[in-house]
Amino acid sequence: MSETVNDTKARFEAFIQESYPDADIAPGSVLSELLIKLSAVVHNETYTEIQALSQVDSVEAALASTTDTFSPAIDKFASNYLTVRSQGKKSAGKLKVYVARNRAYQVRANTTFTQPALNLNYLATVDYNVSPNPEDDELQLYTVGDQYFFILPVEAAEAGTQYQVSNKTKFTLATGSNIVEFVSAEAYGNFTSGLAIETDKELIARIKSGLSNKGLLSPISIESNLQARDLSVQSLSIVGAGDEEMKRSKENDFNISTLGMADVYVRTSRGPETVTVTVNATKTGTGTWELELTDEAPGFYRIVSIFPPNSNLVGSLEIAQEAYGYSTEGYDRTNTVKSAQEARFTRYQTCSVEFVYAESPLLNIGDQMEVEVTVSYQPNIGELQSIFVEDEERIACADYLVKAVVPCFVSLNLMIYKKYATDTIPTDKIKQDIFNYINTIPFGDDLHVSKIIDICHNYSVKRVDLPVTINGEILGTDGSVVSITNTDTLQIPTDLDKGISKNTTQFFIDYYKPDGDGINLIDNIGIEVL
Amino acid sequence: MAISNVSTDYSNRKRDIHILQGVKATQMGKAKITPSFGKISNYCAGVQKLVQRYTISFFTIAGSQDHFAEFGTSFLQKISSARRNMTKEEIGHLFNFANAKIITEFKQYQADNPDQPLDEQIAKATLLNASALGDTLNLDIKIITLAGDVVEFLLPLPETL
Repeated sequence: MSETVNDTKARFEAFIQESYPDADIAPGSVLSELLIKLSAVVHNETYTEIQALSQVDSVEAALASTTDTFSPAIDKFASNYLTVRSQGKKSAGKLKVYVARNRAYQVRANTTFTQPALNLNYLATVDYNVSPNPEDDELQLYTVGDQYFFILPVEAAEAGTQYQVSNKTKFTLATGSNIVEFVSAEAYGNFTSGLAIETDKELIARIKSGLSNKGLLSPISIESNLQARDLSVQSLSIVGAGDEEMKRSKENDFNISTLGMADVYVRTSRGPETVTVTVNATKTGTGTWELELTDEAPGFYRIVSIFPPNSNLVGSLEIAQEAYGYSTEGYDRTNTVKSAQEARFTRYQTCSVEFVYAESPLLNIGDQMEVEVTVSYQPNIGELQSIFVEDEERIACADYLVKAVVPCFVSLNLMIYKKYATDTIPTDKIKQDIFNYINTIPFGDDLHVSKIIDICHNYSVKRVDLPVTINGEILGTDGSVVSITNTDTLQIPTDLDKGISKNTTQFFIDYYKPDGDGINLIDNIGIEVL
Repeated sequence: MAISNVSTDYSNRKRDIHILQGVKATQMGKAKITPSFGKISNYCAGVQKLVQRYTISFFTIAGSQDHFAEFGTSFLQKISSARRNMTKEEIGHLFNFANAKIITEFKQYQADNPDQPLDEQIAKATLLNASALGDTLNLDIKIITLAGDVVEFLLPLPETL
């Protein structure tokens, strides 16, 4: 079993006290600061590696292991089935980097930014030149008022699911990295999901599913088929004949189910993801504009913000009205969709938006301008739907409608007590573990507070203050928001009129959330240490 | 002020490695202390050990130890970034914040380990003076132990930290 560095330190202290009782290992002593702590850091890595390696010399041992293992023996076994361990995926995104002056800048490859509270690092992968008048591959330096910024693509320093941060998360330059006249940086949109290196258990499970049939017939075969593609399918749930959630097949005069229809709820991102699309908006009145979203971000959840391009406005333009509809035009083959609610979170969803913007200089009614619309969404919904309707793969007598999973956005606050005043509680690691736990709860499972407490106790805390209140907000297919809260077990309710049930809905959690004004970010996984 | 009844008898006492050269319990007046290796190794105990522990805890930059980010204070970081523009009062202000953290931690440890000799337990620490000499900032610190011993010492901080 792995142990923390503090645990290793405690082991060393116990050993020294027993073997050399005259040695003083109090905090601040040379023995503690220059011997024990340094030895604990070095030894902990070796200890953890030995524990992991010693647990796995067979498939049975890998499956029985209580920790994540990465055994070369399992790699060799998997190769017999032409299966290779996934090395994971690095979360990627963009940073809005503010600088002090209107001039050219250079960002060297491996310039690293750090999120100090989460202790996560991201870096530029290539050299970039930034200029107010860019050429070719140079990045644009934007000027808005007395502020200067550029948008820099970055990726996480390592593969892993915990690196997915949200829009406006603050960053600083890491020690050793430098950008001349750097002022500040923040995430520009949510980052994409990352993936950890595949563990032995996950690899063995994939071998099993790899041996299965991959036709689009049963839930298992559909899952095998979709996960074999590079479309980031994390989990899926099929709602079909006989399931109470299946309403599409009952839309007839007799209200009885006609067979041949199924709804495929998919999750393609670990944490909440966003995408920014450029759309033409049309002026419809004084200070009033309209735009239409169709296939720019298929099945998106909601609009996060609307900005004129290259704007540094604090807070989105005011959205006066959103009207969701549907359209099956423009597709060679479509599914049976008869209402906006049925189309919600699918590729057939459309949205007409009216927003307020006092442009300068003034334009005429009917004039158009480009705006940047950021939406929260599940990636690849359109691509996944195409698989089910294309000639090569589709089940000819069936109508599979792909929907983004109904989201339940979760937030919580914890108060943790240290054993000793000199202890360091790694709140960044606790947040990452909570992030991974909640974002990987499978369909049908509940969110347990006891599991959150368990996560905290992996890090040698004295206690966690109870009760821990967990709040959830579910975005229904009718556009309404259902609030749930519990101090023990958070369960997805059943409200079929809103498309909500354990078979259609999953939990999401982000590190940060907008404050009441929607301008600044506050902790969504709040941890206070006493 | 010198400490009376000094002994090199370490029996029944826990010992640490002595690296802060200059703290001499028998010396009258202030002693300048600097950390250094290379001299003949010796142990320390008693008030000498306490002064060493205090100094190490106070001047370790918080966050500089991997996996032990809470240990230390931010005193050196704040001093080094703005030293030339700081007044004695501002330095004292920063000292008080950092000192309060260390005293709290030491007293917590003393409460959990009550069998420590009284002259190895801290009661109070005070900054008596902060003076600049060339590129060096000298901090004049006084420590009082629970046994009533009083130790004054000078810590020189070079400009480049």
